[in-house]
Amino acid sequence: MFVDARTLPHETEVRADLCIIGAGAAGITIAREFIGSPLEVCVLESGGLALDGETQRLAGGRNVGFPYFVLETTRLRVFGGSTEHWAGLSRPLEESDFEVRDWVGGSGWPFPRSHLEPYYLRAHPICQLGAYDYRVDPWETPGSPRLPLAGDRLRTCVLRRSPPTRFGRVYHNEIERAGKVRVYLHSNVTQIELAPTGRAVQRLEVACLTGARFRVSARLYVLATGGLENPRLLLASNRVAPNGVGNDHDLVGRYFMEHLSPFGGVFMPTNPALPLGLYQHGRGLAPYGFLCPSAETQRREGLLNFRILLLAAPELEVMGNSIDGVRAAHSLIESARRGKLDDDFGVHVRQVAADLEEEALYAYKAFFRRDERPLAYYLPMEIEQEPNLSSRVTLTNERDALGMPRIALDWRFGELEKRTFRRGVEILAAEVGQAGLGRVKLLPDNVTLTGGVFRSSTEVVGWPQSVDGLYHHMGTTRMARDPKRGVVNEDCRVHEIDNLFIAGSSVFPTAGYTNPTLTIVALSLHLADHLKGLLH
Amino acid sequence: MRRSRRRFLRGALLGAATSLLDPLRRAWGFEAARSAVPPDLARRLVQSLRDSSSARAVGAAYLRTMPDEADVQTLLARLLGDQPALSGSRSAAATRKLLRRCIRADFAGERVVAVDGWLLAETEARLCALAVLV
Repeated sequence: MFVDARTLPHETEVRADLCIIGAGAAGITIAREFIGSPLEVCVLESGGLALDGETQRLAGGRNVGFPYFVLETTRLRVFGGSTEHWAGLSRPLEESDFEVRDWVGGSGWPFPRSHLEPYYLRAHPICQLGAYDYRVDPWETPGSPRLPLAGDRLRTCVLRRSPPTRFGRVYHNEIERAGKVRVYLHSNVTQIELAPTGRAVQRLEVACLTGARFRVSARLYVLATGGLENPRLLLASNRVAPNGVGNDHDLVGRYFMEHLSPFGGVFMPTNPALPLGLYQHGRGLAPYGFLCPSAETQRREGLLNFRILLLAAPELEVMGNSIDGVRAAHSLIESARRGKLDDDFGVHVRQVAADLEEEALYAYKAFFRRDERPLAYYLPMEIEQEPNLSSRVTLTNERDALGMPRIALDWRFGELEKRTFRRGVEILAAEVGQAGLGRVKLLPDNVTLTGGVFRSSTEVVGWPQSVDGLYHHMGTTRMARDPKRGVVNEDCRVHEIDNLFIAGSSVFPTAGYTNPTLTIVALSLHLADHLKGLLH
Repeated sequence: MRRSRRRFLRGALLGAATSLLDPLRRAWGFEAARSAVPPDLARRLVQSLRDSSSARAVGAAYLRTMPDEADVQTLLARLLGDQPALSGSRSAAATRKLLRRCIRADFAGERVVAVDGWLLAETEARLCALAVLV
């Protein structure tokens, strides 16, 4: 059932068994688990059923670290949350992502992936992803096999594709019919009020942009407003706990992680007829492939996890070309399609490589003018970020329309990410070269000449201009068994608070390379089961 | 955990002991090869490439970044140091096969050079450089 909170009488007291703050993928998933139960569930959503500018502006903040997107655009305050703009790409985290890796500071979840496996299985239909199957074989055909790489350092994996599920629309009717699940729209929590002991949440203060205010008290509370808003609300709720709720160890807001998304370069097959269909999206909802390092490669090389996509020019057009790196890659690939590559230098490289291969493309230039197949593939990467204490969300003195302090995001990352980026491209170049499949070119803005001469890209310094995030906000209320190392425990309960839980990617201790929504939903199901046990 | 440039060049797949011996082996091979280069070998190697204009374009770019290798004997010696059998190959097909083996081994061992941004095997880059000089 939906309630427009703007119509509530002033100072209304709402009571419930469970109160969920935020109706995105996490909040809606948890709420749905209680449909049909006798328990009273209250969901507080800042937005309405459609986006509106005034509400969205509440999400504004400042970037004070590595350049990042305008914060206001990176998450959505509407019923359904940021599922209103997600792309639907899905894959569970890898087993190695859950493990302690001694070369990755702060790595290790409190449990292995097998613990989440049943929840991933349940999350799949919720995200409209079909069967829970991430094998590559079923998607290979004779015309689109996986790349026959010579070594075992990289492997092909597949991403599954959700339509994408817009949770606010797909589950709207179900929620509307649920008598004991009440969604209060236009409801902005402004304070988590603790009991005087500081060990339990006593009530929430809620405000509407119209000026109406009300309170909510419940037996249990779940904070599910995303990786930027979760720490914001905890830090701003400082009447009883001066450092903010759950922040006895100064961890709330720290360890902010994104998936770094630089453009790695361009892959040019020796033979333009090399079938790479498995790696292309644009085939409806069919999964598509990418390359990622084996766990052994990560360990041996001391790298973070990453993935490399191989996208032909049409995919670039789909992705847009608003940033420098895309433009550079696009220009390079378009040149290749016209038969020119870097003033023909790339064509010469391919000719030399092809000359020495078995298939011997005698009349290469004539051949590629006839062939419509893309001649080069752009290599976007997605790289895990090492948990970093200094990468953080803090509060500023600026206030939003409701008087809430706005945030400052100080996004930081270091040498390990940079080295993973460089080595990822180098490993790919070595693997495809060893297999005789083609050659890799670093994008120009990845390349820095050292004294005019360099022997390898290990001398490449800095990031390409194009490094970005993917609107994935993670780690700011990280999970750990030890209260000195994390904000929530393995049940997602705030260590210091008996009745406050956190859902969403802010609890991820590490983030792998994969899109977070499926894991958010799986963790939310896990949490919902735990809450049912506590409430019944 | 920084990997050194040297390690990258010498090959991640070689063990530590091999890595230590590798420079010595290569230096010995270089000198031995330099003193036993057949006179027509450079031309035979270059002829294994069907498109000499492409090879020369790549080779010129390589030599711009590696001017100390702008010498036929040096290039031949380095090529033969890695694959002595090249000097005895009789046909273009056999030569291509040996070169292909070298190139793949280069990539496997990450003996890679960046030429105009392209990550190439040392062997193919040197072969192209040879095409500029003969």
